[in-house]
Amino acid sequence: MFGGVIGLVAVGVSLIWGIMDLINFAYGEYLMWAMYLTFFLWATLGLEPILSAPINAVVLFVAGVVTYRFVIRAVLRGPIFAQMLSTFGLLVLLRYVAWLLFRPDDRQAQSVLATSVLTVGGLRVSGGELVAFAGSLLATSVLFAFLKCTKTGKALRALAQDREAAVALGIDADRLYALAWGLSTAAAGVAGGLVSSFMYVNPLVGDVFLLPAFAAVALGGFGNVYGAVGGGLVIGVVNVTGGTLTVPKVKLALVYLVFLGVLFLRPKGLWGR
Amino acid sequence: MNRRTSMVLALIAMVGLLAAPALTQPKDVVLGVIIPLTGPAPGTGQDCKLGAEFATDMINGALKVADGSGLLGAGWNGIPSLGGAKLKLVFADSQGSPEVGRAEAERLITTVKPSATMGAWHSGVTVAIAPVIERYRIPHMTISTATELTQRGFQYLFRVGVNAHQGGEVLFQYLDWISKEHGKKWGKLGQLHEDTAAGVNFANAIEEMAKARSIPVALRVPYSREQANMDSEILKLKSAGIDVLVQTSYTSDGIIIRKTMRKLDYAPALIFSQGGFDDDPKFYEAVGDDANYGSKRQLWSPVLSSTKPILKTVNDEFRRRHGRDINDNSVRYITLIQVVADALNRAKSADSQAIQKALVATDLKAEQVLLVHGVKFDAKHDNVLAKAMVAQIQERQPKIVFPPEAAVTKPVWPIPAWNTR
Repeated sequence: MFGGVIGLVAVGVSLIWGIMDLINFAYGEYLMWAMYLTFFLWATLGLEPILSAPINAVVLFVAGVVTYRFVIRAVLRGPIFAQMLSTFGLLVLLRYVAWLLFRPDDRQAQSVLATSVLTVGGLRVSGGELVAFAGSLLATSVLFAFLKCTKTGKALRALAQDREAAVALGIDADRLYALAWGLSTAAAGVAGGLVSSFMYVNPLVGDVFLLPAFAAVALGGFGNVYGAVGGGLVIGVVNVTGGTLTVPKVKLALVYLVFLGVLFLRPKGLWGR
Repeated sequence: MNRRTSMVLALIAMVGLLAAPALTQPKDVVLGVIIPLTGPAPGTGQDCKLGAEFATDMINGALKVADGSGLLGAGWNGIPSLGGAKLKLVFADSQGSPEVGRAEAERLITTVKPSATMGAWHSGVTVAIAPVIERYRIPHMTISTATELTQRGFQYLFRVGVNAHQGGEVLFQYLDWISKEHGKKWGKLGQLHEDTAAGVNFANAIEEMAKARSIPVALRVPYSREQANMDSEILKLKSAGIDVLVQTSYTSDGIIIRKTMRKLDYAPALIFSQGGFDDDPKFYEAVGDDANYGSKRQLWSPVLSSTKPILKTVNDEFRRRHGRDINDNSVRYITLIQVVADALNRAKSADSQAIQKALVATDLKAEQVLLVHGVKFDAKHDNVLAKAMVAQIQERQPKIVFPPEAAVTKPVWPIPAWNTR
């Protein structure tokens, strides 16, 4: 279940990586802001956390496009280090503005779903996790369908494969980059809504998800959006079963061990080309 | 003397007269309080703050409670031996972080120049603060439980509450009692703890004490707090068949753990904690009735007033002011302030060195302080009179179930299975 959410976060990271060759270090912070949005929607309007996912998607989409227009576009022409540093700068900015506004307190929306427990074929899962998993799969499927079937989606993929050729064929790279940023942060928005029923939010919570998501992206194949979902699932499974079969304290170490092992055997990731 | 000079002199005399009361007014005694007001345990920090302010108001004469009783500070109007000098609290927020706590301690000491400091609730933060206060030679009062704190020979650190060993002792007495008196059986002892000072120290203490009693610790599961999923930790405990679980968690991880226990249908016969998550009102808000049947080492209960009547009077006043009962955190901070006030009064000085000397000689009887058993420090500055009881959460309230002379209800053993709740 955990892997599904990591998969969705990984898809967002992978989208930017695949299309723009850029690592968005601030991605976890978008997720954190989405979780705060969910929390405040719950606290003020009593909205069930899961239901805020589509609202988050819209708000975060706009935030992503704005970020691209005002920050990323300016540094795209710069050296790769400038690009990476700019997203790192965004991380610091987004995190500490949240710190200033919301204080470092842990907050959690109360969800009806989170307290329900379902038994599926002998496996026990909480309603919140199940919906988060299903929601993640749904969101990634919608994204896949968009990339696969629509003209814009195909243009995005063309851009990812060969930027110069795509531009030569008349694709408006600037507009599509903005769209890619918007879609990527919208995925963080959905993930934020989905995890909030069982996870607290504080200004540092992005790290909890971003590190496994980075591993998922690399595991699935750098920049391969489909691989990222697979990578996320692998990480979720290793996290829970590995921790149970050995010592829970080392579960994250196991995740990174698998990650290193895969990179050693298949440097382009499991589904990398 | 011309007219002008005499006018100037008269003016100076008038200013002098006006200033005179200010000069005779004793100076406030500043106390620095470093607690987690934000961060992962803001509810607990808030309780500490309310407790400290309550005791300060009582000592300053701003709050009349239990006048004429033996309670230290009741009926006072400031520190008597200092001409009625008032206590002034300056709070600093540790955010539950050792780095922030250390920086805040340094800032407090160098800017507001307190006569004494106290804090920081989280053992890990107190471990970070201790060398700072030692370097500046400021007496520091703490309730943090990590035993190691008082093992390092600090001269200025004093612990008023229980240490991990004193808190763990009561678990084994309880297990002994419940099997002998109630014929309850249990099989395997296991531990689940966060991996900072509080969790590690308590787990070590439990292991040591279990070994001394030839009880094996079947499984020990440490975890780091920053994670979203605790399935493997709980599955591990469940598959090992741990039915006496000793747990140390802070609030947010405590919430995830309790929810995961329900999800994975893990209900041991006993969950015993040293406080932390189950002292924080936010835990109860988040898990609701799932908080019930957990047990904890408890230092305070309003119902103890049957043996110590003054507690009821004080608790009633506290409830009137804050709309809730005194709990383990507020009671210890009330007591911290009482202990410092007593030391100030005996030292007849707000000088840090004099306070430290007076603290060493502290000998407060049970009826003088709010914390149940009194305060007296040993050579390491642990409170030799600190004792714990066992409370079980029933109807979302900690109710004393052990020792029998303090118990208000019978323990529910084993914890009912999740599908029956």
